Amino acid sequence: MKMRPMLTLEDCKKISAAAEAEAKKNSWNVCIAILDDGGHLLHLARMDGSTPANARIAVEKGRTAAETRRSTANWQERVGKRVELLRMPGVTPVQGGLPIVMDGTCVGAVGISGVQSHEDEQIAAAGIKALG
Amino acid sequence: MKGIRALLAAAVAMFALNVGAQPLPYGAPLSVDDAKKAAAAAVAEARKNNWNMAVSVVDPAGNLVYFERMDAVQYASIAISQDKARSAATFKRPTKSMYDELEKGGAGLRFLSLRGAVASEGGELIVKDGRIVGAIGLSGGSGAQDGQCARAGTAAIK
Repeated sequence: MKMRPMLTLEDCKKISAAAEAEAKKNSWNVCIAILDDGGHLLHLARMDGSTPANARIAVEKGRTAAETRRSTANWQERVGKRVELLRMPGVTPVQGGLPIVMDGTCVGAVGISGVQSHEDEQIAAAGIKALG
Repeated sequence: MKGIRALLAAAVAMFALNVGAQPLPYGAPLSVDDAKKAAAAAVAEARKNNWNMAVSVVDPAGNLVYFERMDAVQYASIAISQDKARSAATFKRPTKSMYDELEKGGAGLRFLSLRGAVASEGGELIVKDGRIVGAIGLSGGSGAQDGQCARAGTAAIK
């Protein structure tokens, strides 16, 4: 039997707090979503001032990264070259979603929405970094 | 003093349950810090009882503000907790009151067909200064257990 790591609630809180700190540092208001490797929501925090749409989009970016094991920036880049990829079911090809990889295994993803896409990704990366 | 406080609490509880008569107005959406506080109190109540729960906190329009899922919760509870919270917020009443109506049968059965109504205990309003600022939804245990944790969550916000 192959064993694989999985995110706990404590891990999620650590990621979310670090992401929120990164956003606060830059005076950005965003929504932070953390999902498991099957795309199921584990944790979400919508900072004051971010919109209802941010909550939905953060989850969808995270789901894309979790289920495809790729960053949504990678999807965005490939969609630019191959427009037919827009028809991929369940894919939100907008930067701001990053898979969380532990020992070569994808254990979930972080999705951020609220500021410019590259800034969203910066926040996601700061969150994942806190996992060590 | 204790007696007066208990009486006041009972009056507040009756008022909160009796939203059907005179619904409370909506207020500004609760802050994410208040949402975290409510969720933490709800999860603490679940943990105390060894129950696994998912908890959603939404704004008055039913949009997600905060969500967390205890380890080992059934997947279905992720969506159910959100649906209960949204149902409580948008119908301006605890989901238990819809369940109670449904249980009576007859006209109460309408709650099965109203769009967005979840007639299952575990969705409670978060009220601040007499205004609905959001709602909390719990799922993972029995209806009564979900409701108990949801009310522990709302009690943390005053």
